[in-house]
Amino acid sequence: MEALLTDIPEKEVLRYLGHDRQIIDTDLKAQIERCINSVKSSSRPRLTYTVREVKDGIINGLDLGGNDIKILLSSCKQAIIMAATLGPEAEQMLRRAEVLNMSDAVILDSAQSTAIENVCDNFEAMMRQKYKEEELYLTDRYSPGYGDLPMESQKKILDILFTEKRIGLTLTPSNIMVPRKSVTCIIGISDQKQRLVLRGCANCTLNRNCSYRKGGLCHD
Amino acid sequence: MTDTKTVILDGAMGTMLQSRGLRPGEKPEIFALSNPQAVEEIQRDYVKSGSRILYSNTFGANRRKLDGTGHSASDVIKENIAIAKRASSEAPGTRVALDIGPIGELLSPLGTLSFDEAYDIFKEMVVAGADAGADLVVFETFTDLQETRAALLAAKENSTLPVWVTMSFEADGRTFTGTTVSCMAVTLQGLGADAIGINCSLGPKEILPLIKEMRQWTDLPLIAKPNAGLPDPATGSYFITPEQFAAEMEPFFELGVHATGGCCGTSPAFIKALSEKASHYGSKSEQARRNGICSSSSMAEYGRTHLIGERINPTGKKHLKQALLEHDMDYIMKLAIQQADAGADILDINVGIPNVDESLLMKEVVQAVQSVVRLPLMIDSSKAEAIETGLRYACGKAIINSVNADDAKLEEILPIARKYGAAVVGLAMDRKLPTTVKERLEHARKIVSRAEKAGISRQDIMIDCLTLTVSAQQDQALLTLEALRRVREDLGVHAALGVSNIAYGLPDKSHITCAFLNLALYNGLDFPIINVNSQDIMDTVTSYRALNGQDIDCKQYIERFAQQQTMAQSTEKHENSEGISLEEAIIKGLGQEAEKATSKLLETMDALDVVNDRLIPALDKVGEQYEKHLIFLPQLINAANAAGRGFDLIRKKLPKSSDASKGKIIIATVEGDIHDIGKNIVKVVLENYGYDVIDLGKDVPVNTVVERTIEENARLVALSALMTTTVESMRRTIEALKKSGHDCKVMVGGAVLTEEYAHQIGADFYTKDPKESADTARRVLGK
Repeated sequence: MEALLTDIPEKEVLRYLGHDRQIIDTDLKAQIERCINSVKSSSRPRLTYTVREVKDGIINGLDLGGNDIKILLSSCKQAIIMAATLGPEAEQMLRRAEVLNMSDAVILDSAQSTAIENVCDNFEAMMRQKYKEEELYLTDRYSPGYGDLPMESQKKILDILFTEKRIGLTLTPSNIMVPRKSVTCIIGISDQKQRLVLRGCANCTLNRNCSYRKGGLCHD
Repeated sequence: MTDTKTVILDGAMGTMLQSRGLRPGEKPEIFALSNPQAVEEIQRDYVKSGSRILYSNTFGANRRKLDGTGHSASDVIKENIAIAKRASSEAPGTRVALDIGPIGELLSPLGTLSFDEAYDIFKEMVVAGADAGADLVVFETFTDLQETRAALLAAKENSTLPVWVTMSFEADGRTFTGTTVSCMAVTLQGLGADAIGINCSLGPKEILPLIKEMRQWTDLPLIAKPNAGLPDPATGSYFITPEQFAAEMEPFFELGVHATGGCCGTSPAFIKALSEKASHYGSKSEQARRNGICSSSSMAEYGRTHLIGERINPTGKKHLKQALLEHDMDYIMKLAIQQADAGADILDINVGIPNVDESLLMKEVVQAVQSVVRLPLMIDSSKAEAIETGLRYACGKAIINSVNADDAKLEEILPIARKYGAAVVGLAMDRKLPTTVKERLEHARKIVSRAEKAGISRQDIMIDCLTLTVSAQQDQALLTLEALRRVREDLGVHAALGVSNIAYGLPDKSHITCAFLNLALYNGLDFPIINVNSQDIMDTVTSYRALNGQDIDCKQYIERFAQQQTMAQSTEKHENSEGISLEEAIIKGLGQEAEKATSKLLETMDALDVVNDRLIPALDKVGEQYEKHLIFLPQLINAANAAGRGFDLIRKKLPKSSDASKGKIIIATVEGDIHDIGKNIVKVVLENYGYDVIDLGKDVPVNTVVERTIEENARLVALSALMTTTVESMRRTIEALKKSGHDCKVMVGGAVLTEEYAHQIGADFYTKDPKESADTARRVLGK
């Protein structure tokens, strides 16, 4: 399936930047727009996924560890396992900005994070639509680092998806995905309607130290 | 011309093993140790189906991937080669290839694996495979040209076996990391690959146009090992039949491709169909029609004018010298990016300063430059060792600058050029400068003949006819141009020329430099070495390209000069705007205005007073606003940058003896972590508060932090880590710093840290944002 980057909403970019009602003058607005446009025009997002059977909350051949994922998948017979990346182009763009203009770099960084989220959102929406036609329902997206799903499960996910070969996504020995603007996730498929509750602060990798959460401004 | 018969390779192994009990996630190389029979049977089937080269089941048998399995790369390879050798007895003459895939981690700067480590990993595999009796080495499914270079060098330097290399492309003709077909072909042929091609990722239909393109860029035998078409995205299964596959492969035989086989989704049935179809065809080799200088993704093709940016050369450049001495790679990367943005096609890299290890510095600079620009490089040094180091780490096909007609020099440098497949600039001189056209031509002829004898193609030679200063030797300018024309016409080689020297000692240099450049271009100069940051020079080149037809429909000309008009208008507007105070400029993050205001203040105030009474208070105010959420992060950094412009101006004004620096701070992202944006934000802020920040980069080993802290006698160390997994190496770094006995404080920051966590791992200070890091610096360093 083609990875689609359709939009980088400024509002989301500002959220990543910790924006809290501060006044944005025309120069800064232009800077933010320029950064968003350069991420849009130069990213080459890619994704790969597979659908696997689930039994008792465990994905066939992919025991990821942790209890929360089992709860998420408790009513599911199948699960989608997905990995997406913005690619190394994004990485080099950021590196150049870090040398030339650090404030461009932080804005680009936020725009890229927003962009990879958008790619995941588009994928999820397409899948939701596809399964809806079969009267099946999807759970929330769930990623390593959420709840008690260990970071070490990242490797298992990348291996099972052959991400190195399929989308050029690898892992360093400290479990950092490279290229860095990459996401992996699990989405359960169930014949029962799902309460979409798991997104938000409790299930976010940054939950221990997030300035948005401290300000009470995060997405929930 | 038909040389030999087409060679049939094998098909997929992993999927075949799954039907014989290999579980998902299990490593095929290890599975073979307990199930040698299963592997041997599959390989025998391939030979029975017509395979005459078997790839050993060793694709991922590298020590990184085998880590934790209890098996060494060498043992796994020996066992699997033995299996393939047994299977090859099925048909006499069947050869066994040691099959090696990518390591599975990206090389730095994207990942944390160094080029040298990658080389070492491949070396171990090659040596084991050669010992076990492999007939050739095959590197396949590579996507990063630099990793491929490490692999090929490891094979060439540690065995005598033939080496084949295939990479995997997307349908747009690029690999995941951006390597193009042309850059791959030119680079790997230069480095001595014996055959090259494409495998995996795509089916025959999608690979065909890419192989056709590859044919234009190399005369090496070609290899095609496609997948069985494109898979279903959800299930990963393939649809086409062996017959369809073989039919789709027919155009490859017509092209004369040397070796064909199948990758994912293929089976012995596919190979059988392929082998039957191939039986009427032979392998053809053709003279490559295209060539050039390249990086992994940017090709400067011969036949056009290519601009070589000359700015990374410390001769006569005080700041660059200083940056090289201090290993300030940011400064050098800036020079690289500026030249790339200004329109350079190739960058010259010269790091020749006295009393340094030029090789080490060359390696550092080449890697830094390649991390931010994707242009081909010219490795410029008078030392053979530095040239070789530069070529080793320069990804692509580089240019050596330079040799001359002196025998010793030729003997020293030409073999290096040959080994790395580099092009060579030959100065038309020996130990003394020439004065006539004839002398220049004689030197050029000698260089060409010696280079060809050394195995370097005439295509890859550039003669530099030497620009002499017109104010000192007026008769020489036209002689240089005449020699240049003759070198191009009579010898059929390229011409390189540094033009800036023409104007030495004359006022308003740009007029004469541009006039000379124009004449040189007209006489056939195709590799000018110039200051691409000079608007006059770039205007000249743009005009020349329009006149000689390289700039089709004058597109670039129109773009450049239409843009210059708008820019001129906008500057005018800016200059009309009224000056604002330094404080306001900083708070609003307006760099240019901050610089102007500083310069105005300096007319009436002492430089240090400007720092202490104006700049710092303004920054403090910005920090206060940030704390109160009146401004947010981009505004804080813009303000810091604006203050930085003021600081730069003041540093220039201050006499050498007085020290505006408020103390040294070592900053680093810890070992294993490659997130450096947070660290870089803190660095910018600290620098613009006037601290002397020594940035060690990301993924910095514990020892390096300790050594540099002691060496620089720094009293404050700032460490960053973004992952729970790397906080552990932060703890180790702090522990090592404390153990060293060096008197210093450590402040830490990063998304997963908290005040409590920071103290647990031994940090003296936790800083939650860049503002706090500046406050902490003030507390510790007392200024």
